[in-house]
Amino acid sequence: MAALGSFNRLFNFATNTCVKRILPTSTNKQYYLGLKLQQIEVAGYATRKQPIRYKLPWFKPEPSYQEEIPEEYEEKKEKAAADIINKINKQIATNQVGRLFAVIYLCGTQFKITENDVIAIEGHWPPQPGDQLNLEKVLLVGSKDFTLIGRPILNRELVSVNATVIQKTLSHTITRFRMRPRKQFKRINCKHDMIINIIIKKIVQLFLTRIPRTMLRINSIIINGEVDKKKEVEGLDRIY
Amino acid sequence: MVFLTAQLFVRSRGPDEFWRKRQIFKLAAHYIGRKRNCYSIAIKNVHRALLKTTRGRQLKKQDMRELWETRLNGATHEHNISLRILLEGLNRCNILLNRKSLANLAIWEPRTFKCLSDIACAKAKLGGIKRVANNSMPETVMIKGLVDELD
Repeated sequence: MAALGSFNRLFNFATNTCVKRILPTSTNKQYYLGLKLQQIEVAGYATRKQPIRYKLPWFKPEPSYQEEIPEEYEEKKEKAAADIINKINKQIATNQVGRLFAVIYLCGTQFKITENDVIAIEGHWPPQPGDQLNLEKVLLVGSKDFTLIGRPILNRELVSVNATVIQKTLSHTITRFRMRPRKQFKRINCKHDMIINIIIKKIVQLFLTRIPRTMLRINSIIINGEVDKKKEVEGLDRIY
Repeated sequence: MVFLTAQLFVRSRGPDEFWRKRQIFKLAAHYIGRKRNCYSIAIKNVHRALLKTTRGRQLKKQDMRELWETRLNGATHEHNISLRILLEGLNRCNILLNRKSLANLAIWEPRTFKCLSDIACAKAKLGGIKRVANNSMPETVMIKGLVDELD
């Protein structure tokens, strides 16, 4: 078939060129419909007959990560899980969870916190002393009997972590000093080195650089409502 | 200071000798022996110390990361997986805890860490990673919720 197809194409090409030379284009169209049916050329975007190969032939194909549930999967597990979730909900409802801990994401770092903790946040951070904050990026909340793990964060209505800014201070003095012995090269806190510091708005003086530090008191970690339940409407507390 | 000639202008550099030395002696105040009293010895040690603090700020970050990895390696081998599997499995589950908080959890909340390592192991097994081929599927994990479907 392939040979026949190629021959056909060759024949087509030959006749087309010959006919075009002899006759004007309009007659060509009229008399040789059979030729046109096989190959209709349309002026338009340039198209490739073969798709572009992004992969090299000597590379192995990428493994597919399509995951499948193994066959020996038991339905009983779902019932057990439902029981556990019921127990957790009962604990939350009767307030028997005890002291909770949480892992939160704040200012580019993760902190493991419990109630009444004080954490220090480094670098420029706008909140002022006395501000009441609700920390919403909660990665994980745990109690003595259960742990809720966020993918990557928990629903902000499910868990509320309340905190207060108690202090804004500065760290000890930081000096950036470079020197090469016996080469007459010595730089201290030179401008080039301090670019990073200026970005996060540290205080830059001739000899002194200090990083701002904010102390944050964690007032409470509370689980609101029930676990593993989807509400009909969410986010009503936040209408701007 | 009055600079009558260009030569004198070149000669006078920086603040007065006393203040220049005092800056160094201030930094050497807590040293012991001649390091704190003799200028030529003090300045050597002050320079050494400043160089080390500058370098140490980066080294501390690297060292802490190494420490967390060592701790996590120990913790994960208790549950028959390795650190690589833990991180890969959790990442595929979209659980974005970093090394610091994972190491903290491994030390202070071992039961939470056990759950995390189980989830990572199950996810790795679903993804067909060879290293966990010999591990049995953790029984505590609900596999149905873990499966991702490709588009």
